[in-house]
Amino acid sequence: MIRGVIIVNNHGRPRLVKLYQSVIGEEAQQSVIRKVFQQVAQRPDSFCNYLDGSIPEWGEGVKLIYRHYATLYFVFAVDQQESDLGILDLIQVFVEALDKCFENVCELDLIFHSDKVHYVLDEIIMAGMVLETNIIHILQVINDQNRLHAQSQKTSASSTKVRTPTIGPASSGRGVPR
Amino acid sequence: MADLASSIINMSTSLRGDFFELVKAIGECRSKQEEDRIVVDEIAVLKAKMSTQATFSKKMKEYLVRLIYCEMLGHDASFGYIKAVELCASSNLLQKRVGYLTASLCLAPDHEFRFMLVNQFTRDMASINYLEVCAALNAVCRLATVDTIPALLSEVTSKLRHEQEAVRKKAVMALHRFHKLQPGSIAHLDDRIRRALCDKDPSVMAAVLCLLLDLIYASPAPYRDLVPSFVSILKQIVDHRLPRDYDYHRVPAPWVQMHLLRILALLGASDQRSSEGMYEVLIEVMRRADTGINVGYAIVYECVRTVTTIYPNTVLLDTAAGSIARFIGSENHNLKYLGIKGLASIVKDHPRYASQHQLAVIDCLEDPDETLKRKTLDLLYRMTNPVNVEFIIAKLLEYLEKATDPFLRSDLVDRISHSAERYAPSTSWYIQTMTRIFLLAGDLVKLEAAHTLMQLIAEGTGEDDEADEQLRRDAVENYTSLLWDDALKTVGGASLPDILVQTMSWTLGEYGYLSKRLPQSELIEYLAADIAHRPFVDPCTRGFVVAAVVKLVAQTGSCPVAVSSLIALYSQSRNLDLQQRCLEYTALLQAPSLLVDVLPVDASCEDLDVDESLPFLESFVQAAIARGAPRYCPPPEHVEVLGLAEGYQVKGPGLKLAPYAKPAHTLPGAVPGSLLAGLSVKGASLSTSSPSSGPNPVCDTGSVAKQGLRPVAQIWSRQGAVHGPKGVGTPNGTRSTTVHAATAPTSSLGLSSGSMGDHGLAREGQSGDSGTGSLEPSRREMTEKEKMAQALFGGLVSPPSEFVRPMWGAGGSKVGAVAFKSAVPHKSFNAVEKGSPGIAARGPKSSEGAVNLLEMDGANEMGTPKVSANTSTPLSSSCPPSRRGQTIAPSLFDFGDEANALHSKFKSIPPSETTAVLAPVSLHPSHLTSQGDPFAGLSGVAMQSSHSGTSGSSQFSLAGHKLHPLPINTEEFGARWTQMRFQFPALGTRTFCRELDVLAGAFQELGMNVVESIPRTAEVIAAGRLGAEGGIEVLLHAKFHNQTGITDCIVKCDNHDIARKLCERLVRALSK
Repeated sequence: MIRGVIIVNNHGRPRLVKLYQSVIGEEAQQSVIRKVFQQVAQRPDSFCNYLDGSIPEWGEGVKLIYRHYATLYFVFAVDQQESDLGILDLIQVFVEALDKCFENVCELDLIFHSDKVHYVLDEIIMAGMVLETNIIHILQVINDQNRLHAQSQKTSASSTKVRTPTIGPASSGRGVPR
Repeated sequence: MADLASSIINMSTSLRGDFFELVKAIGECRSKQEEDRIVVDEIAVLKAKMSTQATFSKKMKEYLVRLIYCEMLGHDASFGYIKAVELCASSNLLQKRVGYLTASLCLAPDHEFRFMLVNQFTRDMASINYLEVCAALNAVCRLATVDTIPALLSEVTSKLRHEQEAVRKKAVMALHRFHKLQPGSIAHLDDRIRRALCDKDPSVMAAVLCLLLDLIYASPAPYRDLVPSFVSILKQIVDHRLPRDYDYHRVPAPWVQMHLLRILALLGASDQRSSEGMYEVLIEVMRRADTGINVGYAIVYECVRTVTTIYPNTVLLDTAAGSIARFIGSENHNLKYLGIKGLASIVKDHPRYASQHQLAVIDCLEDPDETLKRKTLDLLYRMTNPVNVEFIIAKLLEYLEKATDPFLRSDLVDRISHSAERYAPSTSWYIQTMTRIFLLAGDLVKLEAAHTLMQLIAEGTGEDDEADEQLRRDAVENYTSLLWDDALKTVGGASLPDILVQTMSWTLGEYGYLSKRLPQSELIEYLAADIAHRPFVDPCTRGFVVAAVVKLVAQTGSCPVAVSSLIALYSQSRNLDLQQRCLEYTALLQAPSLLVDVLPVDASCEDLDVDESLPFLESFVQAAIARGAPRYCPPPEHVEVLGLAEGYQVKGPGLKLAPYAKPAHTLPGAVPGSLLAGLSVKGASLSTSSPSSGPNPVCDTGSVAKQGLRPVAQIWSRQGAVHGPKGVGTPNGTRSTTVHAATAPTSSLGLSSGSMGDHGLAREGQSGDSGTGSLEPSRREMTEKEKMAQALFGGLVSPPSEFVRPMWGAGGSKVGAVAFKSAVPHKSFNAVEKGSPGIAARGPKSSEGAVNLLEMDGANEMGTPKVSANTSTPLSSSCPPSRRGQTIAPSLFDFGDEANALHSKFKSIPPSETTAVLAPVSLHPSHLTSQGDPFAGLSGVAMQSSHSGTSGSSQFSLAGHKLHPLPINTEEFGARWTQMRFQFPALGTRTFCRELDVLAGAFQELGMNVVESIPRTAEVIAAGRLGAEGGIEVLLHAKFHNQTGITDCIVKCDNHDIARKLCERLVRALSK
């Protein structure tokens, strides 16, 4: 099981925190993030991408698997059941999916569109389990949502215009794609 | 900064302006305090705005995203949760999703808002818009609780038939989540799950595999019939039968393959028939996956894991070993890591494969990369054998010294004490090693380990008195010098861990007269003046020291002032145990002859004859009763009396109870039944409810016959739990069941002395027939590394039968057999020895020669060149420097240009100083053993672990009687529970179980009947009967902590010995 996904930048600022095994209390959560960052950041890139570090809040047997892209560390905390190399590739899949969604993903995208990042991650991992690794499938759902978003923007714009003259069945604001 | 500004222009969302300002401000702030202030301001703004805005306004979504950001930075924003919950009901899907997202990120598992969302979930899951259903299912996965499962289950189940594959797979995941929350909650859906495996969409099938993996992990047997299906799915995937878009870097559906391989590993373990069905496809998968890219190696590694877990097959093992060799030889650290891991999994059962990697392993051990080093130590632990144990333990100790991570430390301590105990070459080495562990990590050592050590010192081998004497002398010298050094280093400081002080005090108290270095009088002086006054963590430690001082006084026959003042001082201790001891010693010191009788020299192994009825007290008791004292009433009767049994009268000027008439019918089962209701809910109440209610002198049963003190545990003192009945007459007669520290560790030694011969540790490590002829036509100088390698791999490459040095002597053959058996568990399958050239092949033919070879191998550390008389096989040449497999190019780990491009795409945000304040980790290792009675685990559980798992059947048996399931129901269990006389707790046992059912299964394997297992409270009760009909009944209660696998067990029985033995056995069975 994947216990949590943490994206943190080179300065230790969290950019995305998603814990599948709840860590109760803000303090505890912050200390998890801090510990993860400390342990990961002090490793040169030549070392292997695994860390049998201990995060007391998560209990024993949790391994950190991470990748370092420019300014960001993508850290997945997993238990014994997951494949080490497999998770490394999963991070890659996640990043590729983000890249496709944001057309050149950068750290700012993660900050300002954190909701979207969460949705992409939700398509890949659900309840700590690897749900989907097929980029095309992931993107399809995201695109459906985006289309819906565009649609609702349009309809809401038009509905404000249209509202005064007619009270017709113009738009319910709910689009059903496909 | 310009970079930032331009990107924000690109965003072109005026809405996000405020948010941008916030992020920018946070990015620029110089201290944690500054950041906190900014975020607090932001929260105030959000609070104000959110309360004025209508819930479904456009802005609300934006606010919630900002709220998530604040929460991520560690600030409480609970004021907004209710808005999030309200937003979930929005008809706009985008708003709904943000609502769900906020709720699932922020709501704690026990937050009451989770219940408010249940209705919304069911409504959304019934929606015609599949995206709404998906959003709801996603949120269900995050927000469902054990209590809400029933409300959601039917709706989720119905989604298994949804037309959209995205919905179906999410429904499967939600079911998986339910299973995780409450195992057994989806047990009735087995059929549906199996059907979902055949879903026409591969992604649904993949999702089902995750769920099945967990189900099979808990209990593989019911799914064995699916092996052909899994094999055929795997085959189809490997044959590229899936649509192309499932390929990842041209490998077809790698994650699905990995899941399948894991499932196969679980199903094939110890099942020859299932395993045989897999061989073919495994070879195929390994062959196809080996494409030289990362994810391919991930699959290969999974194959290796599977191959080493299932029923072994030579061809597969050789292929796996080949892959491992390539991994280890790789320059890429990630692959090297996998290689070490793979080797660790293969070396346990097939040690011959390790030989070729000697130097690579040494390299990894020296690697600066902590992770790699740690895995290597894990590997070393697994390949420990009697020959290389000294080297490996030295390495592990070295590492323990530096390690700071609490989990790692406790793990290391467990491993070191385990291997040291199991493979100790000599007793003095064992004592030194254990002392070292105590020094390095005294707080983490299990109490059992200390008791094992004391037991060893006290008993010796029991064969050679001289050697035993020498052993004790060694130990005493060891400890006196330790004390001496310690005194020089620290004056009055607490530098010695409690456990070491306890062991040391006991040893010196018993055998201090053996010391040549310190005369007894000085020893007494030192213990009484310095050690006894130190601050200790465990209050019992001081008791140990005082006891040691008094024992020494008894031996010397003179009592220095320091001692009497010490005893006087602690007679007023707040610690009752210590106070009592001191008072007793005060009394004893006044009667020197009695003192010598009570504290005899070196008699800790003698059996004590104790008449449990304590007849010598009879006159005292009679006199007391004659004076009007109430009679003693043993606990079980006591319960009945309080309840509704017969003689319900209260004498004396008590309250008048007449108005409360007796019930018309007495219901014999009623009390225990209701008691049990309490018991089964709360494990904690179990231990306190019945036995420890103690002697209540107020009630009168009127049965004089039962007046003798019943040996109920924990009555008199903390030690009482183990040997309550074994009283020694002491001057203050009323407390006569108290046992002195002098005899404390020993009385149970007496009990377990039957197993003495088994532990074998005590035997001196020298054997007569060590190396006659030997090795090394050394063509070249040995490098340092090679020397290490030799020390390390000694004994590994031989065929199993030569594993154990004949150091145990004739009587120890049993141990030898044991060690051998557990090193190579029961797989009669003997793989062809062609794997490693030279040594292994030679083994069976000239076994004697091989033994000798090994002897030398381990013993003369760094080979003086000798030529072996009876073998011409050069040992060193048979293990060539391990670069055998082709080196894997560093470019393995590449994802093509894409990845590189991506890499550079991350633009950096303006750097800022981070001054995160680091909270010190305060973590206390969860060793619970010392919590209760300090001697509870006294009986040397660890010591006897060497003969665990040796018998083919795991059923518990004692003296020829086997344990049979006792078919009773919960009520009957409750009735019996209160009546059992002895209980044995094993608190905080680390078990391999992660599921309650596995635990229950383990009990069944022991031969118990699982009366009831209660998933909600994670408790199991079980009952068994030793021997045929009418045999002795034993009861068992276990409280299980799901996450950690730690289990608290309590065994109850009418027979002290059986309860203890079963408890020990249980601990072993669970922690294997």
